[in-house]
Amino acid sequence: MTNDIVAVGGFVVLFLLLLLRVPIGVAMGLVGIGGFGLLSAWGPAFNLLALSPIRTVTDYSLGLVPMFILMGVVASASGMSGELYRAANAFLGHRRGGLAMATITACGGFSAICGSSVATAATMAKVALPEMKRYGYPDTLATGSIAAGGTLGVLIPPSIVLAIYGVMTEQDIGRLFIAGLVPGLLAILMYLVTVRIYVTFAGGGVPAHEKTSWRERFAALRDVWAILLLFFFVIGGIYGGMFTPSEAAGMGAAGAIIISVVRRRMGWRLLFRCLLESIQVTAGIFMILIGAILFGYFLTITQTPQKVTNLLLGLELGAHSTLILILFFMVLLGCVLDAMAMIILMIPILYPVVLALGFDPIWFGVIIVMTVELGLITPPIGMNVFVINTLARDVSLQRIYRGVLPFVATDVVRLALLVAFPWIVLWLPNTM
Amino acid sequence: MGTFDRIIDRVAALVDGAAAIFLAVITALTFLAVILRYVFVLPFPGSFDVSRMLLGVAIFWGIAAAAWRREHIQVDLAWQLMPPTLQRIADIFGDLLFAVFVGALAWMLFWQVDRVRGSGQTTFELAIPIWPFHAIAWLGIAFCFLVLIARILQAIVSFRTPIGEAGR
Repeated sequence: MTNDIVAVGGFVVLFLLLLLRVPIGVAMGLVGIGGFGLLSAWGPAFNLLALSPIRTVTDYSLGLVPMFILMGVVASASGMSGELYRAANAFLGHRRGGLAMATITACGGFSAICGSSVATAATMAKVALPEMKRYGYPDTLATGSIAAGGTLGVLIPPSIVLAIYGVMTEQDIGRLFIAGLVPGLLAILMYLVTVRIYVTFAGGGVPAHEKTSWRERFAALRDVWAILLLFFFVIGGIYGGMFTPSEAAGMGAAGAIIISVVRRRMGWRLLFRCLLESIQVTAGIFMILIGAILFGYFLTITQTPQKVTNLLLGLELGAHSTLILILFFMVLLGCVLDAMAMIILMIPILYPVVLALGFDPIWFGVIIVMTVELGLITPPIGMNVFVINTLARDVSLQRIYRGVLPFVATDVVRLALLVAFPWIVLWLPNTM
Repeated sequence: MGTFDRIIDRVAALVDGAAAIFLAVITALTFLAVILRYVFVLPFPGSFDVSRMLLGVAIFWGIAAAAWRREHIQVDLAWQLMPPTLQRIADIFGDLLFAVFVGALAWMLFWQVDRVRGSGQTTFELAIPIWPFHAIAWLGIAFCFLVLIARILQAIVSFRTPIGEAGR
């Protein structure tokens, strides 16, 4: 059997297994080992099982994943998300659509201490949804703004997906984090403009909140010190070269716990629950990583990355057209796979192409994360939409997807901007 | 829920709990290492190696508990469109492949632990033997294999039981 047939067959079997609901990591691992065994020998293939998974789970650079997850979980459990929302609300709530604007701003703030989109969406939905319901906001705007705001979680540092991209491509995770900052702030700004436009076209359907006095505003702002402290400590520490990303993750998680305990918001029981939740989420991510790394050996032996690179370069479309083709393919793949799985599966194949096209790997990390973000809020598998649907049972999936549509359009515009002007992404990490 | 389910649930909760405590230790070690270095200008020998070894244990144990609770990330798109009987068959098929994968992993890892023990590998700074950490991590994978086998057998036995009455 030729390498090419086995490679194509491997991908076909992989997608069949995924559709049959075999866990993603298991499907990738089995195809990886099976394909490697077919093309090489079964002894070396099984030896990969002896060596690779244990190496993956004891890789110190990946240790930041559970600790950043823990930081977000603790921040959420200790009520920091509620404080953020109240502060954002105090400043923006009196505008028409102000609660949706406050939601997006609070999502951005929460993303600064939480590296996961789904967690950001779930956390903010619990806080913001009842408030928007109480003020009679259209359910499309209420749920759409949370689903879109949640996507900021993977862009604004710390970002679990960017960290894994960094480990896979051997890029500096600190620079990747910093590179996500300006696009993240741009995303908040553009989402706020989107709400404004929505409100203008929605006519009188979106009410305004009563205005808050400056004294109340400053009082609300005082409560967000914990999040600001954590963010500047962790991300500032990385930017200033004080900590490695893994150390920053440990400091952030421990810092969040200490702050919560000092503020009497966390006892042993709640801390244990946070640890439990964090390790459960981590186990899911690592299962995919274990499978993906095994699948990577199969890709290497079939020379798939080189062949895909040659194929795409052979099309002679030019760098940007090829990039658009890649991004379009990723959006399509987002219809089947979740964001993390997409990055882990496709980066080994696409990364050499992107390097060969002459793009900056840090910039591409941000661009690809923004592209998979789209999959979180677009049908049929929009994880953020699913999460909000479980918390707002009375709003159908279709209505949430409708509500999120204007934000998807904004995302596409933002993506185009960052592709056209890479310096928006790169200027800040280049100052490190 | 039958007695069998309750027992496995209890063990899975213990395994999960232990993994959570390992995560707490890893976080504490990382935090202490940074504080010692920056505040007291002191090294914390061994924290790096012990952290990553414990990470391995925590993750393998976490994977086992998640396997029992069916929490591993899957694609539900086609599954949701299937009739209930086909869904059950797909679930058994998925568990079977999961068990094959984890069984092979447990088998190969067992011999790897033995090789590491034989070679006398130790951590860099404190010369702590590595194999006990790998052996404890292996226990998680072995447990994962056993719970998957148990779940497959249970699913086959209760295959004809109407949905809602069947166990997990």
